[in-house]
Amino acid sequence: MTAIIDETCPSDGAKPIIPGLTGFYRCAGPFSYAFVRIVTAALIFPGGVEKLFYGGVYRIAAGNIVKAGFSPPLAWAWAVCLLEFFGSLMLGAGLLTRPVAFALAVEMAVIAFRIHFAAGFFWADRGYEFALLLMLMCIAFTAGGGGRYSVDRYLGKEF
Amino acid sequence: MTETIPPAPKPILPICAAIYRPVAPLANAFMRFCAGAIFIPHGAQKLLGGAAADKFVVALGLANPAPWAAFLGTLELAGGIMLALGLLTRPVALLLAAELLTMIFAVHVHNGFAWSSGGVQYPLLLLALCLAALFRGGGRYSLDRLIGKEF
Repeated sequence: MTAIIDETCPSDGAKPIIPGLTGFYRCAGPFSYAFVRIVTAALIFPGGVEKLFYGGVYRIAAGNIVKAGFSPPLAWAWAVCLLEFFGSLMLGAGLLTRPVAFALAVEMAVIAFRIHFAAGFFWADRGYEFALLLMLMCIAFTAGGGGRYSVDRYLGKEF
Repeated sequence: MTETIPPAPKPILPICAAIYRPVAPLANAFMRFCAGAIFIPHGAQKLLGGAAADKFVVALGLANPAPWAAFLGTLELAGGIMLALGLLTRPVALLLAAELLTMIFAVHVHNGFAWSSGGVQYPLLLLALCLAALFRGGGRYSLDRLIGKEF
């Protein structure tokens, strides 16, 4: 099977109008997928740290988990906490990328549609757009897998 | 010239390969489309509601915010549509990244990290997506590629 993700550079198709930039594009282009994957993971990770080490797990067990209608709340709170902490580390490293990204996509879907949906779209009003964008990114990683720069690719095995 | 790409490993569950093969090449274009699309409501909000509609524009404390709201609204609406479609991908991504950097340093850093308090968390994700589009251009599924010319 050939390349899984569209990681191609402009050199294989369109010619840049400014030819001098081709070298930069060839260098930077292949990293863009891993870059977004790592940034997404890095933005989810602090939430996991807060839940695991700063009592956030009990805060959400009494708040958002109940609001989203999950029972028993504490068990789901720990699931969310561990998913955000270890899941974001694995997503950033690209280890078991697809299963982890899928689990995070489900979590973000619940956050977007069960918790923030009533506040509308805009994040200035605590709306759902940030959780929605994280969900869409996790769907992209579920489709694309780890890509060229990931532990999955290094191990040569992936789900 | 064709770039050689190392082959992807076989999925542990071989049946999954049939699912991945059609969707995996779409991953980058899907990310670019989502990034562009999520700007569109913000552009429309600024154009229809003016500067007062967006509290982060209000937080800039500009003496004359109306033309700036019109400029940013046009950039976000037109730029969002163009980024979603992959038209002039790199210049548009550069402009949106510049806007995000400005907003991050002028407004969002003062609100801390968490997105729910207006912090840098969300604009950093948008910035990463714009930088990714700037690095790789439109890619295989974009109007740039269809036209055959790109910056």
